Amino acid sequence: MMKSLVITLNGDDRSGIVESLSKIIVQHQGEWVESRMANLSGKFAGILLAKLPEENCDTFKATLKASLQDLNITIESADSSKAQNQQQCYKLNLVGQDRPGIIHRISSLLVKNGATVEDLESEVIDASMSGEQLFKANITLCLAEGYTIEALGEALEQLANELIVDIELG
Amino acid sequence: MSNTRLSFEQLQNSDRFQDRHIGPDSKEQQAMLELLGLDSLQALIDKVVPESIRRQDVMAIDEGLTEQQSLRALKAMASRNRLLKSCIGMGYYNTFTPPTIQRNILENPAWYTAYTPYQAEISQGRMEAMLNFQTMVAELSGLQLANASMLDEATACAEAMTLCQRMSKSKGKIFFVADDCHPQNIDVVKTRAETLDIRIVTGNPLTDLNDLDIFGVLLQYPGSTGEIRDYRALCELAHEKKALVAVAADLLSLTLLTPPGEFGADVAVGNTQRFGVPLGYGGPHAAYMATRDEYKRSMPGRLIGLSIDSHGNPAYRLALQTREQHIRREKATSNICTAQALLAVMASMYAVYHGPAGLKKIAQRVQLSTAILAHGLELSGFSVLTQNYFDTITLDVSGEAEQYINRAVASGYNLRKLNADQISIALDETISTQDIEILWQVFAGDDCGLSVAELENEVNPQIPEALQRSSVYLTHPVFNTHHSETELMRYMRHLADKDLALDRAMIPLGSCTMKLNAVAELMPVSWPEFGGMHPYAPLDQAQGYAQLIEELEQLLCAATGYDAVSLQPNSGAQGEYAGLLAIRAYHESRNEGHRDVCLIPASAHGTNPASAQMAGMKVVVVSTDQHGNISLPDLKARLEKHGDQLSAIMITYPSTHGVFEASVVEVCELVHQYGGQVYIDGANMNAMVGICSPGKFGGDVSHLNLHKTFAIPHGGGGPGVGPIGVVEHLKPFLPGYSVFKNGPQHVGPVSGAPWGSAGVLPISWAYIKMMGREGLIQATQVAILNANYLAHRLKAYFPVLYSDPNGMVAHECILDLRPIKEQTGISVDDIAKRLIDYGFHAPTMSFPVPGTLMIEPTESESKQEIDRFCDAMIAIKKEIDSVQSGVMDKTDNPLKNAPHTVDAVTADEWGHSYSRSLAAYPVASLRAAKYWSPVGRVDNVYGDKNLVCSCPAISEYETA
Repeated sequence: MMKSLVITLNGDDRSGIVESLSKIIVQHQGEWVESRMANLSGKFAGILLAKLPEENCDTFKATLKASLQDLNITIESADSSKAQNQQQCYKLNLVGQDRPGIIHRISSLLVKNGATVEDLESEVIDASMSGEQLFKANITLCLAEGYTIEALGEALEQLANELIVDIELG
Repeated sequence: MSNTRLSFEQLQNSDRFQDRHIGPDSKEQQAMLELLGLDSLQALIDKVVPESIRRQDVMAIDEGLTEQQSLRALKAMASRNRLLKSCIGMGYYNTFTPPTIQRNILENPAWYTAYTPYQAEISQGRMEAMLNFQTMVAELSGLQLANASMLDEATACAEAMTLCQRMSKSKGKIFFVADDCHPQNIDVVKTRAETLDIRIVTGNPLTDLNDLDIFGVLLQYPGSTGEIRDYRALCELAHEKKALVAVAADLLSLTLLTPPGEFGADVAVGNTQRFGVPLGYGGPHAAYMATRDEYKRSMPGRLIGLSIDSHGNPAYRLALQTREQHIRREKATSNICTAQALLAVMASMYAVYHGPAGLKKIAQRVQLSTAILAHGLELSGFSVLTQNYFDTITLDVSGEAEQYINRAVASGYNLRKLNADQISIALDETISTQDIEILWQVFAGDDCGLSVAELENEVNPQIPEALQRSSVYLTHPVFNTHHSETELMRYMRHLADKDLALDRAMIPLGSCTMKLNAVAELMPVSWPEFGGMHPYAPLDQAQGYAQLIEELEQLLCAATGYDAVSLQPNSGAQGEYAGLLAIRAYHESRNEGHRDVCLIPASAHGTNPASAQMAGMKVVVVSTDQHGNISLPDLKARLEKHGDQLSAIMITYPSTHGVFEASVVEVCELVHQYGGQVYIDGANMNAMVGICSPGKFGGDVSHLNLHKTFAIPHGGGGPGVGPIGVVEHLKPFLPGYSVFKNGPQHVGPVSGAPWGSAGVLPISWAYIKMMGREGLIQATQVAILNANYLAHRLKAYFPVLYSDPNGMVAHECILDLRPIKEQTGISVDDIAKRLIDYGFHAPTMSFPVPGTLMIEPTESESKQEIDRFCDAMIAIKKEIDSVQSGVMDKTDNPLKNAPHTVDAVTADEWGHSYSRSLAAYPVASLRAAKYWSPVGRVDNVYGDKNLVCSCPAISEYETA
């Protein structure tokens, strides 16, 4: 029987992390299902969903921790009951003046309006021409039943006068 | 000392214009070439410009004229224009430009050589004038928020349409346009709608709306033929359908009529030309747009807002830039970049000078003139069809229209022929009693015996009571204070003194080409023969303009290698839009209308994807490699994937990274192989004139920025002229003309006037003719020399981000400041603001790469000024090094605290760890000539969070 595991890794970035990881999974007859990996300022962080034969899970965990000793690794069982049902999902693009706490305020507002964050990418960049500090974010979110995307969009725009919000069905 | 006498000929040619335009003299040029290890300008070009794209033909432009010769030639051309009094209306009216505004704004380099106010601290003066403009428009239109100008009324109508579409809650696809809108407004709206999947329905809005699934309505108020209608019920009906209402309104009439904001309109647009801006044969003029506060995020164009500076004092800035193309690219509300800033300033000063009472008086006189004229015509047996009017009436002349039009011309007046039976007459500020009496004679005969004095008391100007304005406007002190000429002169001077324009220092903005705007080029713009022509005057009266236009088109073809030119677009972005429309129409003509993919490099100027989106194309981004050049592998992959749908590629050449990419010919060939067309953005034309021709090395269409390469002044953000050059097969698809039927027939007009901002075309004609072939080539060579010299002097201190394999740049260079930011925390912004203390406008910031500065000196700057700039940058680097080494504090240093105001430096408390003299006079030469920033660093977050876009109460200005 196959078991789903969620593996989280973080630490200093170096070459070969993904290669080692995938090799160990293959060695234990496992499957690389889905993942997000990122590298920011020299640090690596990744989250991966893998499926392995139940009987190989313990050796897999041990081998993984032994091979990638320079990284912090957490391995947990995936809770399949939390799998997405037919929720409406959207892609939001936000751009606005950067100010302290903006991610916090956005995420609180998302929770209040029935949204769960599937994916969040953000950056602060120098705006062209004027050099202002701009905050940009791409958020993939899903809405619980009873909540509308229009209401969320309006709430986001109210949050920040200058926050321009684009919503796409995604 | 040699006694060889110079010949008469040699003495004659001692004043070549090119020597006045080009900054470094031959000695300075030699010195710079030597530093670069080159022995001639030709050697420089051989090293920098790829052989494969070099012009082989001789540019078909004559030897340069002297300034006197140029002025004489233009005078002769201008005198071929016949200046009648045009009572045609249609959004363009005669007006008196107050002489003090003409001299102190239009003809004042402190105003016309200024740049778009991205650097808020050094633009406070003109931003105040633009805030006055916004206030004037918002209050007169009765809506809360107005922007700092649109390109013209017709495009403002089109932008109003897309604003309605974005903001309305209706799912309808129809935009209803009242059939009494000005014809050019209808035409340009139709052109815009075609690529945006919007259906236009025209008709009578009072009767035809009920069954239509509309998202918006466009009305004209008063109507084009003069009628004033009550639209209150209509607005309610539209709102019930969840549609929005846009009204194109005559600004002067709104001093007397209920404004659109008070009768239910959601958006108001129009022209401000009649507020003291010359007709200019169609432009340039500042159009306006005003809307409700709740739609602010959807408003196109520049928006001036009030914020505070680092000392808590009021300071202006460009607000909500997150809407605009340089931030949002293809998602921007509009592609608008350059607008009509200088003309908006003029119109705002007109309102400041006349004040609300003065404007109302002008409006009342206009209306009284119209009433008297109408009454006299009725007494003479003519039927005046207009019931309620402001300045325009329509007469029934039963088949005799042609005859009366000709009689009017013979008497010196142009009237508007609607059809064989109807004539419209529009009166204005300049109409005298004599004009009225002559017009009566035109219709009723020389012996009609009517007199204004006698009839004046018999008339009652006709505005329905329900539409008489009762609300006040322009109550702010700025509109009620400067009514003597002395006061206004000092106010204009006071504002100009705050700003840093080309008349004070080099503005080395990459991609903006801030070169000399010579007076000999500008003087003809003020001549009445050019300035006083109505855009829809009969073509036989505008032969001078016809000649100017034809010659300028030929000169631009010679300069670019293209086969035909349209001068209609009045900005680079609008040229992009027109060029893409031409490409689209071309594909359709070959039954390939399914082609809609536009490839655009990630490094392109924001207007490129914004324009592509407006032209109905799907933007696909092509990546650049680590050298900043278009990645050929990525391009090939995109072409493989999208080849069948490929409409065009938009490239900039030399690239926005400042490099002559060697692969450009291959890029063009590949795109052509897949059936696409090549659009070459001409913003960097200053590196190419006379040396390589985009029309010959692969381009099918380019826009030019006459307000960059061809010397039209930047004006603080406009006027611009963005003509497009096309190869032969795209010629039929140039933009058509409104009103005149003899233009290109396949694509609709993109501007209201057939030749756009014709009034400033003499400037580029004069520049090209005075420079001549040799001068233009030398200008290109020296532009490239100056940039390479500058890069060479600075590269030891700041890494130059991209250069070609020879280590050379084109006419601009990019300095990479990201390592500095990482190591010391000093940002691009800090360096830009510190440059102000050194008396410089910062170069282009974070475009095309975030965290960088792009520097373009142009050929007009002397080695002396370039050295002064380099010395400033090197001194700044030394300051940065001090921060890095810990000698200067990480946060309390002159970079973080820049710019330093005189208030801060002379305050009793100083409190900084560095001296006042380091703050204010970091180099000794500044003691002799110092520009003081009027405000400290402007707080951007505060400004967008607390949006204030019209003149605040006086109490706000009292020091915090």
